[in-house]
Amino acid sequence: MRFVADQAQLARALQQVTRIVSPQNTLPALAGVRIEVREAGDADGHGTVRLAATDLTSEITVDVLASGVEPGGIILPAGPLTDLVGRVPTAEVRVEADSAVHRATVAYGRNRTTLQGFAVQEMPQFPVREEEPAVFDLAPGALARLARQTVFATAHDESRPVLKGTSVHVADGKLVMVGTDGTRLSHAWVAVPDYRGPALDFVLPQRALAEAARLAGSESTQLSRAGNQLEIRTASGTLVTLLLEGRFPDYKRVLPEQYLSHIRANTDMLRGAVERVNLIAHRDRAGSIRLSYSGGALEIQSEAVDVGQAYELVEVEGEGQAMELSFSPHILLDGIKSLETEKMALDLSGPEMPARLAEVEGSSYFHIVLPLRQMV
Amino acid sequence: MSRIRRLDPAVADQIAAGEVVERPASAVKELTENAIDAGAHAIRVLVPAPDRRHLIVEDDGVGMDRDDVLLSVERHATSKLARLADLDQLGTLGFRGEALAAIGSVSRLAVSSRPPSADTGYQVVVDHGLRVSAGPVARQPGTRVECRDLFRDVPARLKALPAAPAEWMAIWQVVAGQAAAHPQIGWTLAEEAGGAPAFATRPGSTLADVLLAWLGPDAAAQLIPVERTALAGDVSVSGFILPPDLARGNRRQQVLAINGRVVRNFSLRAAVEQGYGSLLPERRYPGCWLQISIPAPQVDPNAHPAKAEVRLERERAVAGVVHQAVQDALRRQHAFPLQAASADGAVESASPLRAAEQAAWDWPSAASGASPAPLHREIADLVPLSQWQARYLLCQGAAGLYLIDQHAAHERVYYDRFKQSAAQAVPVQPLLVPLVLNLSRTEAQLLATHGEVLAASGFELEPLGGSSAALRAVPAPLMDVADVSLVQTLFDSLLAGGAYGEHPVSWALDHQLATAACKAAVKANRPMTRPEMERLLADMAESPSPRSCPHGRPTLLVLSLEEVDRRFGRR
Repeated sequence: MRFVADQAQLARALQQVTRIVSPQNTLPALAGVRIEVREAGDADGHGTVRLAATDLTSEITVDVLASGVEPGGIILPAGPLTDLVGRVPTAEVRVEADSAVHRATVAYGRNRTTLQGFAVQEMPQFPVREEEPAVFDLAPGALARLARQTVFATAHDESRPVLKGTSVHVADGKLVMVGTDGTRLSHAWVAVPDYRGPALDFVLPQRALAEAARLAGSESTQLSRAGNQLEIRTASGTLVTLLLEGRFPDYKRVLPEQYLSHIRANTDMLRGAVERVNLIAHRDRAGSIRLSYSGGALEIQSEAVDVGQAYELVEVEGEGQAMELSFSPHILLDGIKSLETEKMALDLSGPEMPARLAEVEGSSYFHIVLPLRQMV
Repeated sequence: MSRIRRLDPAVADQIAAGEVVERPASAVKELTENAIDAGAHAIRVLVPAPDRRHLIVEDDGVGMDRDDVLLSVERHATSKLARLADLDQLGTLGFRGEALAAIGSVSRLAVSSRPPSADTGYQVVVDHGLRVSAGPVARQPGTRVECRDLFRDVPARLKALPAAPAEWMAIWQVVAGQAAAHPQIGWTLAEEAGGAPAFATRPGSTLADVLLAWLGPDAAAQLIPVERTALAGDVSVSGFILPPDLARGNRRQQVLAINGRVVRNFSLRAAVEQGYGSLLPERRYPGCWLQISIPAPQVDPNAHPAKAEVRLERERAVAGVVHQAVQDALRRQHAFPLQAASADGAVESASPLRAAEQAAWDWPSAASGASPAPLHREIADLVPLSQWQARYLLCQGAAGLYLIDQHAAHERVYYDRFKQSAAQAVPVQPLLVPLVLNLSRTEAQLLATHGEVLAASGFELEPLGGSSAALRAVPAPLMDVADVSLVQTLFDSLLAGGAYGEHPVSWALDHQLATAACKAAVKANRPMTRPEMERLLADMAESPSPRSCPHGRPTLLVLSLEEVDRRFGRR
């Protein structure tokens, strides 16, 4: 196996695939990057280098164009290879592998480093699904936005594994993603006008979604779901992941049916106020942020024993009942930070009832938070 | 022909003996209990043979006349109980009339006795259940029981006996335990009649005297008295415990006596150990010698063949009293027992030095504004000399040179602070999606009985019927860790701690608080200035238990002047 590749391209591709490699592995080959070289078939020796890495629940593959190719494959340790290629000072990197002893030489200019690797077969391959996949496309940047707005709300502990994923529902020309950790919920949607197939329902692991979003960036993506696998294809690479098993809770039941107060605010102003008030609130383990709405103003307050009090007043437009609610500081702040429009909506359904944070323009996203209850 | 037969009485006795007399040490226990019941003032236990299967127990109690001696070796013959109803008002340790018969059925037993009123004594010898001889004998008042060749005819038991040194240890433990339960009796344990005793106390001693014999002067000087009466005067606990730094890796230094009977009781033992709380590292067991008195009708001693376990009517309530007694004793205790030995002289000599020290430093004293009466005077009075390796404070104080682990000490300060704030009401975070739990039957019952306690502390658990329940709200600070194991901890602490008065939810929090304290505290390799050191010492002085960090490791070491002098060869 042999190829010559552009250093910048190869370094970037390696960084993209090795993000899912975990450094500690009982299977040594899993700490590696699989490198497979194919000839393009022209006389100049052009071809592609396919880099792949997996954590056994998902696999990322990225292709890099190369010249001077001789087909073959090897697995090289991800950490050293990525660090090395990233630091190579020359414009081109030559990689040559001896498939008999699974050793590869990375050469740059007059210098070289030799790495011991593994045979290609030692990395488990993702099974290829036989059935016809359901395929649909997402607009440029859509996947990244969905990930930004839902992944942060998913659970991090293991007590309910299915909450470590984002629920995806595709039907009627819409794709809806929902993430919840049990105390808050993010709901975002995007149009998929071209999809005509049956309704799809699955739970995408949060990590795979975050990595796919990183891979996609502002590009468009194509998703194909077959059985318990989802393939997310972007211009820079492909991620295949197993879907989470288990039933996602019926979140529609917790969405309020009507709101008693509707508040419109400038997102940055409210966010700034909450961030400042949070400086005090988060000093106290049991700290909370209190919102009081009345007329055209929203008062935001917090206090922490031995630290101090904070008070902010934000002018808002609103209608409906005056109301006072307390929130867990970081939950409220996370929610506001996930809004990407200039104006935001805060809808209240009662003092101890769920509140809704939403983007005003487009209304393709909202976030539900449950206020704290004060013990009496 | 019928296949079921009545057992030969001798065989039945041997089988019964297997339960009562499990090993030589249990024979010693039975015989010493008989001697105590006989009102002895002095009891002597001799174990002449190196294999510890030859035992002699002598007392100077009321003794037995001829008829009694003959009857005493029969099964179910006792002077202590006539009707079953008497069991409720039992004032004696024995009541079954089994001990001598049992021992006699598995050894060669000689019982000789003389009441003080009689002129001569009478002796009966039984060999493995068969009477060998009986006749008058000359002896002083009292009773002597000698048993030889224990388990000679029970080869399986004989083979399974512990090694002789272990058996000697166990016998020692039995005698010392009885002495702690009955300190007024003079106890002697020796190998030979004239030999040096392995354990000896004088008649008319107190528990403190017994423990001096048990522990030696050094440890005995550190004993902490425990005294508590509760439940309308029904239950009283008295005795001694050892400070946590003298905890051992086993429970040999634990004696719990209920109404004079040395017992094993898991709940009471746990109550003592939990009374130490975070002062003890894991798998270290404190020394305790507690005499618990409970009205006789509330104790059922007839629950274990060897009567080592008893059933208590209000076990949890009694455990609560014990727990509180231990906690109070530890709180009252001087933080530094070493101080007692040398306090007077050292304090005086330290004071002028302290003034000179302070003048020598440019820093204004930060500790001068501390509260007038710190909880631990000894710590408040410490003078920080310097910091060593950027991780230990060197301080001069009443007991000598103190080495303080800055991280552990600061951790303790934060832990106390967090614990205090955790006790205040916290906001509750309702869950958007309830967490459904599958409970065991016990847990479901606990939920039914303690639902209000849980709700009052912010856990909203709603039974869903059957064995499931939904967790609908958690205290806001626990939101990130609200999972099945948190609820499990909660139930465990409800199960274990129901009697101890402290809030069960604070137990669930303990680990969290300790971790938070560890993160907040100054770490090792952090240079500290003098005001910082003084502030840390002042904060430590206000901690209820400044001697250990929340994980149970010590916060300080003391090197006494005497020890330093000795090592330099000045004494």
